[in-house]
Amino acid sequence: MTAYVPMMQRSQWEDVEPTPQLDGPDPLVPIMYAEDYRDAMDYFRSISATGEQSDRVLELTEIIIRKNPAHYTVWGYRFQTLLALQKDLEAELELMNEFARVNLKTYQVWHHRLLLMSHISPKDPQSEIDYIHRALLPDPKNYHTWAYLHWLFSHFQDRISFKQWQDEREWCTEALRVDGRNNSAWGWRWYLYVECAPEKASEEYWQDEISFAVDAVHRIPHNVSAWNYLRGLLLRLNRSKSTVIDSLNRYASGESPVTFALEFKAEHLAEVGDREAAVALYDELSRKDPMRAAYWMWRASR
Amino acid sequence: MISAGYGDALHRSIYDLPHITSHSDNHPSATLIEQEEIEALFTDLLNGVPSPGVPATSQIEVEDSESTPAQTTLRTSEHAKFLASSLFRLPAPFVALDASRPWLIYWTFHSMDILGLTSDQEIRKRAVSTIVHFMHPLGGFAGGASNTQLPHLLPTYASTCSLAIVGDAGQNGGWHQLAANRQATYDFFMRCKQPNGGFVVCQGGEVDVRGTYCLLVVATLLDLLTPELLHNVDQFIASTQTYEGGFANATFPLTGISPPRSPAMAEAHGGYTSCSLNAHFLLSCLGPPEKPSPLGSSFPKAIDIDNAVRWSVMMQGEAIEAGGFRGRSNKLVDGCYSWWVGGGFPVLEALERRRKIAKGQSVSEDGPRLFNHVALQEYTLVAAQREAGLGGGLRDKPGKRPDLYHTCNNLSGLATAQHRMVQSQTVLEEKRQNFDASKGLPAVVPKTKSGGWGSEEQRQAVRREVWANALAWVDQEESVIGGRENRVNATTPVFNLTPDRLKPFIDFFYGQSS
Repeated sequence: MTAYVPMMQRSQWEDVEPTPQLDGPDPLVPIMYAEDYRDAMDYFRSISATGEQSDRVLELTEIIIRKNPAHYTVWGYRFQTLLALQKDLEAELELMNEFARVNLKTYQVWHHRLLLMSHISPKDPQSEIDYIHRALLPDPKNYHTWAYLHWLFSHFQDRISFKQWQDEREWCTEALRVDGRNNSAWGWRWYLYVECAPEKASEEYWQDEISFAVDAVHRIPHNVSAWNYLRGLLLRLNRSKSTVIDSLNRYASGESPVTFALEFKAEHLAEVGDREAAVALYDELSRKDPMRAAYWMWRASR
Repeated sequence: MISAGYGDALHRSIYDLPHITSHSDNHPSATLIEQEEIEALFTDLLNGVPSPGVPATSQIEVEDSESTPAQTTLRTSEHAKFLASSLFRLPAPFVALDASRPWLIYWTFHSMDILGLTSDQEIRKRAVSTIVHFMHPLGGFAGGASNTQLPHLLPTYASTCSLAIVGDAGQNGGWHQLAANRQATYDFFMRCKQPNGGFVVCQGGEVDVRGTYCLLVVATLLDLLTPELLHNVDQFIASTQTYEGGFANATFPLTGISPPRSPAMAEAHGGYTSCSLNAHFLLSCLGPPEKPSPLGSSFPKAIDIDNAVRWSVMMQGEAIEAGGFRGRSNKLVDGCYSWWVGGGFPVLEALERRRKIAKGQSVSEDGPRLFNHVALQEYTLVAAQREAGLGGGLRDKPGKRPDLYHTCNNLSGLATAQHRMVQSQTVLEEKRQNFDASKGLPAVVPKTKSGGWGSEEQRQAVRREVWANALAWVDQEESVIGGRENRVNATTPVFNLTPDRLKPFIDFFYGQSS
């Protein structure tokens, strides 16, 4: 490891006076900054005060965000500098690929990427879609990544071809085949199939979607994600549970019935006006799902 | 199994409830494998760590008559040391939190408040001075020194709440400095505002409901609410509710689809649900529920309360997960959701009560607690505390290191579990009566001509209602698991400040003294 060369010994920074952090006397929660971080920040304060936008600013901000990827002020300054210098934003995106690998949970890394994509504004965002699909492989429930994917399709909604929507739907279906319990993938399915349903979607379209959810329940009967999707879908479509109840009732019987099936059955009974039977089921739920006993009794009382 | 000796039929102890492992449905997947690993970990834990109660039926023959039956307690003095350890010196790796220093202060001092720990005057003065150095001339607060960082909505919440805790109305107590920066803070908020009702968290920053929540709490506390600030905010918040009933990070308009819509940008999540629910609640409090809101009869846009309750209840883990909360369907329990999800219940109950009042129905301030507050206390004590003698602090789950964020959220959840906080209609009415409209700080100047309240009368009516609603929370019922040494102080829903800190602070900004 080479020894750290302080900024003031670098010819490139000769003309700049460092500015110390003003924390006041005896601040609480002081961080024992490493020398290189403190040094870089002292110079960042100076250049941001003068509004300098230059190549050395890009070098400096990169040093800082590598040490502290949550430094929103530095990220913002870097982005404005990139724009001012008309830098190659694709190259910056490459750098973000590297960042994302180690900082998957940092808001700023994802937001910087979002800003870059907004400005690059590709005619076809396919390579970015592919990148996100790959990013999800090692971390298939990363909230930032999924939120970014939602944004990508929303922001570029008009540029995404019919085939790309179809491909994405297939990709999502595959993700649910790999792990039917991945609730993030279910949320993505909701966006693709329900929120972005074709205008005047046919009856067949919705029947297919209901069937998909029912089949998912059959595949993994204790899967909360599948039940919530089915329940949410029927609620959104304002449809009765009657058409699907027959095949689902089997999970509501026996020694250890599925909680969600009992609830589904109870809601169906209430829906068709059999209040008494519904209450009996909520009562059963309070025993079969005792962690939520108070809640089920509350449901029974309503 | 020996009965834990506490809890009731509707809220049973994790030591009494059956420990049933997840059903595999003969269908292994990554989610199931992770869940099974955690259940095995909790099984070991629950077999080795005693319950918080002295077992009522315990007849264990003890050779040494002086030893008492084993019992898990809240290790307050260890947590006190943990909290103190980071106040004066944070090692270099904490650089990742260099833009979150107000949070470190808030998490520390709010945890101390909940634990009933006092700090000496000198430390409090240093805390005020530190926070004041984060205050930004452009309004709001930065995540660190204001000669370094720009204002950001999240540290603005953390700094404001920190000043509520450590500051006072004295010359250098921070409150006057905060009051002097009100207009700048309002202007900063307006610069953050987006046409769809969202807010960027900072200049050029991301838009999500964390920002909305933080902004609305501060605007409520500092008397900064105006129609232009709140325009469309209710729509943004309502659009983040997902089909599951919980709320997502944000919403984004789809204009190319007919009819145009604005779907949620991801799945329901505990942290965002807390932000959206609390934001919706604050927007609801501009006027009394039986009258149309001053911002129109459809304000705030309705959310599905029943589904939000259902989702929240479903987030509570089973006995084999020690009764903690998870943050998303099919994810693992984590002590931070004790507050994010657990802390939402009093708000949901209050919203439900408002809904009933609006319909002219009678309301009750009693009734059973909808989540298992016994089990949540057990999770905090048994699973979230670091093992005795290792330095204190609370954590996500066994095997994880404690940190200030998890310490604060676990303790805030514990406070919610021990104290049933209810918005009392009696106190609310009393506060409305006692409000003195002639007192207060100057009204903020809106950015647009028509951006303010329709009349001074309307502005005063809103101020009265907002102030009264913030102070109407009362501790309706206390239920502490284990000995009295486990008792913590209550925290006020929505704000997450203890009532003793909230009252003088909001009174100061509304000029009230009653």
